[in-house]
Amino acid sequence: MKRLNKKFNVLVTGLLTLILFSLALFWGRHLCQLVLTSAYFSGPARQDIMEVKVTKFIPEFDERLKGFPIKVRLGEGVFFNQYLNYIYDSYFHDFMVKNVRMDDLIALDSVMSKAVYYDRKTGRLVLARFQRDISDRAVKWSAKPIAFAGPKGVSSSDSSSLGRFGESPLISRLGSTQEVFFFDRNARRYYLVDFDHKTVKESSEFAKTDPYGYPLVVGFHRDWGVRMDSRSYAEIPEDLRKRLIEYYPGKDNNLVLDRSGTIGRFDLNTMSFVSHQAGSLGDAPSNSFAYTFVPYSMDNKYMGAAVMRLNRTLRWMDLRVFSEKGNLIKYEYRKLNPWIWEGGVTFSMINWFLENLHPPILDVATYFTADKISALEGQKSIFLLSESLLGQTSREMRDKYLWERIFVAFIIMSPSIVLICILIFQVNREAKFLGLLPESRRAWKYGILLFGLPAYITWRIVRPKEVMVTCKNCGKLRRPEFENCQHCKSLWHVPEITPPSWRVVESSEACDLPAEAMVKQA
Amino acid sequence: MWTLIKRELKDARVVILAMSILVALSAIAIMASVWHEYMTDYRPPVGIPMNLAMGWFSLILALITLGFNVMGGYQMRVDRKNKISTYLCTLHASRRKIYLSRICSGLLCVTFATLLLIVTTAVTFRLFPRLIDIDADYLWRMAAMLFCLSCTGYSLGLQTGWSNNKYLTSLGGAGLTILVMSMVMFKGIANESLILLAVISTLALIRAWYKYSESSL
Repeated sequence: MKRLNKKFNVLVTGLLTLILFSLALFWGRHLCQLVLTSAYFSGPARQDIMEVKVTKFIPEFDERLKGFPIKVRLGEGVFFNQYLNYIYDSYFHDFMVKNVRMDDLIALDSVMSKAVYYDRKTGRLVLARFQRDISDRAVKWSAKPIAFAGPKGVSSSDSSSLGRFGESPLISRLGSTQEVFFFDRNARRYYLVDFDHKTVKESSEFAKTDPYGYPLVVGFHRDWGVRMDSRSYAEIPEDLRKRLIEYYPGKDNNLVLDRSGTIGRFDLNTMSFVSHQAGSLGDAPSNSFAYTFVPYSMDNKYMGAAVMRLNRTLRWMDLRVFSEKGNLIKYEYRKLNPWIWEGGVTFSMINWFLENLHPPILDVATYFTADKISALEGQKSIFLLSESLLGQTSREMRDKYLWERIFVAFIIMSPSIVLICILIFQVNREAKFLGLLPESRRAWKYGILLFGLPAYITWRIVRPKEVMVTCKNCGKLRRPEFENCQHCKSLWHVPEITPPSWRVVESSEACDLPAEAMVKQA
Repeated sequence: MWTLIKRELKDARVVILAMSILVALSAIAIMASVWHEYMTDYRPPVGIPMNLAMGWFSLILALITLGFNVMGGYQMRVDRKNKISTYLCTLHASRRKIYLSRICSGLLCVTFATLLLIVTTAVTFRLFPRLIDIDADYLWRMAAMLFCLSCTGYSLGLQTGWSNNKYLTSLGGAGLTILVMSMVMFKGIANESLILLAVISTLALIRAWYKYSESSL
């Protein structure tokens, strides 16, 4: 029972160490990434602006705008913020976006008096007037519903006959208090609610297998700084500037990004896709660290879109410009190399070393699951490091021979392997010294082989801590609770303590004793 | 058992008093932040107020978690220093009972703090109603996170508290608690975080029990 208890104690300590150690490692790696990306993107990458003349979209103005090319550029230092946002996404997203803004409030007009929101109880969109009354220093807010919208129509009074939309609709970021375009995840239909004309348009139902029946973004998406260069934009003649609008796909269109990375153009008049290939990210969004797609319009007419993507390894970014018909008219890429920054190599090495301190069994699990974890999840993962060098290699070498893959994986894990060998040697020596049974020593060896440094820390915490005594036979330190010395197997020579036949007595006590007793004692 | 729990609470009265002040101040801060936003902000009161959302996490949650960590550490340290368990074991109280009563006293305080903050939040939203109903599930999650983090802080305090080294007790416990709290920063208040916190908390309690039960009194 005691032995079982001890095993359980080791298991508990090991698990706790593994979790806490993995957390500490996460922050170590995260710090390296932060230094690397911030130094690189505010330094060498600052000059690395991709200039693409968006004016190519607009042939009729091409001549006039020749002197004022509009440049799409990577914003300076934006990447650093983006990286922070991604890491702390859950924190900010949960509090500021998901519940505070997006889910509740769909649209708010410019003076903040009218708003459209999704009512969770009824499942309908509500257009309401918000009012702030101040009387006797007291402020009172009130919301007065103006119209209610359900799949069956729009009405000034709420009624169950309007039907209900599914929870968490995917709302277009281009929504207004007059018109809201969204995708209902439950019904797998796109809806356009027009509060001005009191109409609701719906698309046909999309099949589960249809990529647009499971879209990711409706409208546009902006992760980081792909946008018109403000200086070049300011130089455009004012009359043209007013007509060329960024982030707006024209009056009758909306863009939809599916989970494979394809952008479709949706016609709001016919409520169907005009084009399933209005643009493309070039890869699945889940495989990208950050991406942006921005539509452009001229005189309310869709002109095309610019799409920028940073891959999940943070080493490659590309920009694609698509025409109105979805033809790729410009493609540019940059290889990002943080090593050119003078501290880049040092921090990359530290990062790699920290990755190698991770438990080997989790490294192996990472190797086989790296392509199944999304870029965002991978960045925030504590146990499976899909964004580590090993994870990247696993994805990149998917098509290579098995022996090649294993060889490269071994090279990447070489510091880890060396460390494990040292730790096994150390623990074996200590365990022998402490007199652990061969099966216990073997268990510890396997433990370290599988869990690496956390297992060694566990060993240091739970190993026997009895005070040792010198063996009379071999002179080495031995455990006092063992019958035999763990080194020479000699028996425990315990001196037999026999009480002496004499004893010291007080003088007063001696007087009381009879004479025979005194003689006997002597 | 109840006598032992009462004794634990009485022994840790200094920390409990400090924690009560902290929780009361947090409750006032919650009310004040929502009231301030309601009265002064020109934007309509929709969703969970940002002050409240940020306040819960960046200040209240961190302080309360650290506070419970200190409480756990304090209970164990005072026991070891004043040989309380040694004395209690002579009065027909087993170590198991002493440890269980300690956990119960801690859980009682954690539950009380969580409940007080939930009630405060509910009252605040009744006094200053939002224009659109708040997702109640979300508030429950926040409360669950507060409870789980406080429990984790407390159990890590118990674990590091049973030590002769007072620096290890205070700095080690606080360091581990901050490390665990930091996880919420990137994992959010998702189920994954709650499960991981519950696991850490349980493991720390078991580990603390082993340390406590195996050492000589």
